[in-house]
Amino acid sequence: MKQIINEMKQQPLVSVISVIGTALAIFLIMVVVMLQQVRTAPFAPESNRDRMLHWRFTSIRHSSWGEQASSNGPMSYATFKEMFLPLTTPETVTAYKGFPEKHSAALPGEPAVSIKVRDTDAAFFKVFNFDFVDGAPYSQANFEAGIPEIVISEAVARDVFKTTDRVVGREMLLDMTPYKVVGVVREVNSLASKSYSDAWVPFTTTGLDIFNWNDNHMGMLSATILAKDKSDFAAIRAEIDKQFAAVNSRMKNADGYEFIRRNRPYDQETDVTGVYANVEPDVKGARRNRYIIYAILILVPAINLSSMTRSRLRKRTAEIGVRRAFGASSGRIALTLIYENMLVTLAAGAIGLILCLLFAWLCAPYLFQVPASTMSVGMLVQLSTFGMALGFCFILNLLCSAWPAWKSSRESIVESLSGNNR
Amino acid sequence: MLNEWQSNLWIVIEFIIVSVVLWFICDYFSSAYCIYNNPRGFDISHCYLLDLYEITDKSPEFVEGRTPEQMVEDKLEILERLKRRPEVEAASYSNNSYPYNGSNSSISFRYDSIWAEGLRRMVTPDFMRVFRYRGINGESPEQLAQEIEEGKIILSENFFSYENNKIKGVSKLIADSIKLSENEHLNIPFGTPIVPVRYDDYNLWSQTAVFSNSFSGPEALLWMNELCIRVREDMDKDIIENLMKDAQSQFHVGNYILSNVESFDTVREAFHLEDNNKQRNYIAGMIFLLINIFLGLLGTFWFRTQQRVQEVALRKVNGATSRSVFGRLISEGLIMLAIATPIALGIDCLLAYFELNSRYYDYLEWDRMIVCALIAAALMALMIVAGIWFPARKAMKIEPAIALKDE
Repeated sequence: MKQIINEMKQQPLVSVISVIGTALAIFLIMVVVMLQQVRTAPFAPESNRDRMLHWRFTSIRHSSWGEQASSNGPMSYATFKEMFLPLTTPETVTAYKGFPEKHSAALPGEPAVSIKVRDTDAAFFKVFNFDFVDGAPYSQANFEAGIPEIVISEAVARDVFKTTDRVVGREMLLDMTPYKVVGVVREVNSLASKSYSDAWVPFTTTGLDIFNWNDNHMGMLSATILAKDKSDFAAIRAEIDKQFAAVNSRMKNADGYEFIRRNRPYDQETDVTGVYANVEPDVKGARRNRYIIYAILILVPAINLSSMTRSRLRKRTAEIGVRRAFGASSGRIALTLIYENMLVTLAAGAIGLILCLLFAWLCAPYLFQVPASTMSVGMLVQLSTFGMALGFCFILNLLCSAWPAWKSSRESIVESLSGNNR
Repeated sequence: MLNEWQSNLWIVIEFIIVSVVLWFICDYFSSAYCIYNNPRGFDISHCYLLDLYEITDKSPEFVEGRTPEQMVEDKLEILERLKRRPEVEAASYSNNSYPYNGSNSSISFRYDSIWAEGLRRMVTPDFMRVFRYRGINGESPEQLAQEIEEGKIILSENFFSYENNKIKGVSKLIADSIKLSENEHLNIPFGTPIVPVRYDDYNLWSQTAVFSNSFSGPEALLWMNELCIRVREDMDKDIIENLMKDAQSQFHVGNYILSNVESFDTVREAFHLEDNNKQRNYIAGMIFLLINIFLGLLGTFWFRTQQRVQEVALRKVNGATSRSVFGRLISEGLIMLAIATPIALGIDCLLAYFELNSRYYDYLEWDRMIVCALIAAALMALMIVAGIWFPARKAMKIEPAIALKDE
């Protein structure tokens, strides 16, 4: 260790450049990792992402439309009830509107504010674990009865009621319909793409339960299945297979419609990869692209760092010659050199990772388009984050030091000591 | 230079890899830039999207027993009230039609034996005026709106122009009607061909068919959920607040009520959030790579040049001027770049050929390829010169006697 520090002191410029280069490399690659991580890592209210299977869109075709034609989008409540409610393997299933929409909220006689509202069922709050500051979600019975109740975020409580205190039980107007506030939750940011909104209402109160197209097969709802355990995914899919076939054969006979599966439901990673309702997400392609980006981000700095390592080792040729003259094998010398470099890489990598975490936290509005105050540690730091950073450091180090170290350790002793090296 | 061939070879290899990466980034941006700057076929400036909410029976304001005919009238009344406002230039209802709506709904038509498919835009006539669609010969939105009113289908000029398709443009068609692909017997007249209307800013998909809701009967208006307006150019100020102020009075008809107004700039931004983020990440990545490459080259040449202090001193002793030594060092770097560039160009061609970055039609375009390669080479030359400049100056300043004292 002392030797490393000494050596770095002797060549301050190159050492500083090496450390900056390494830190920058780890910094950027970890930013890329985090951009992907927030889409799949569990955090409230989507803490159970690893146990979730999503059915965001449904695809349907009709015997009269022709081979290629299909209709793709969210499903109707009737379809949800027929296809998902009977499932017994999952812990629970929920139906909800895939994206929140803006509505006007106000107290009677006061100017309205525009807030985002998401229509859900009652089970939604079992699948997604919201942090209730006050009150509770609407009950299953009230959902079924279509009683206008609303769960709002603290921000909405402040905007509409000018306070977050004792808001539960009070009434507010949502598009001229009086809703009773039953719960106030801590703010959710849009990184929780399935659950975020400013307010949540039962869709039996907004008409979404009867809104439909394609003869009541399609509508405005997405579904999420919460498995008891990740290992149940296969069993759940098997149960859906049966259910899907039964629903399809009934529909075919009744009105000529038929659902297309497209391998649904998808786990979190697959779901976030997909954009279009009529195309199956290409997880392998997305992963490959990600690996290519990682490779470029690590390869380019590695090449540059390796030329610096090589330059640095040239200065030590004489020292290496002496070591070899005293009997050190070239393999041992190479390993020592790689190990020394690894320590530098690790230190620089740690700096890079810390910078990355700070950057992600402070620049959240820029990086993720969410307020920094709604970021939580869990979104940015997972055990895997450290694992990946360590892995990248290891690869980066091997790439930038293995070849130069091997070369230097193999110089002939006489040449090394004569100073007549290349 | 030849004596140093081993380390020079290493540097040339580095140059090749860096050059390919730089080219790739340049190419990505130039193709993104080309696509972005292609004509869009629509104009969203001063346009706003209005949401109508249908009040449910949970509200005391709910009007019982509204028939579909009455509901159509209610919606038309709101449209009329909007049009009567002095700020509003045009207002229309549509379904899956406004720019950046994200729907891939399509419709197919048959002409002769040719079958083609395009984006389906079901609208009320004024839609053409709201988004200022234009005919290929400059026909005005008003004229196009009139044709929609008359029950004609408006097709984009490229509707039937697919690969391996002989029809070059809708304006070249001989007949004046086409058939719906599912219905062989129905002839539908088509009007003035329009400039292709793009799907969004990052996509070139632009085959479009615009037609009136009257094809599906008057009640089709009930599921035309998009209400778009164009505001007169100088009247944008506070328009959102002003409309929302009147939401509960003027824009509450039957069970419909105006619930939200959004400018199309916001709609566009929300729609392109992911794409814009991707661009931003690429730009950040490119800057990072450039910094890294610069540091790398600087580090490499710093050492190379410093190790050659003796050589430089020897040359000076033998009468070389600082200028000539300096030029020699820099030209060495540039010669290596000149060797690396053609090889890198070959790899670039290979990448382009396999369409690794396939975003644009006719991917392998020589002019763009060469321009991008030149930009990459120029950037590298800049970094090489900078990387050699500082250490070379430092080496030059050392007195030959000091540099050569070891010898």
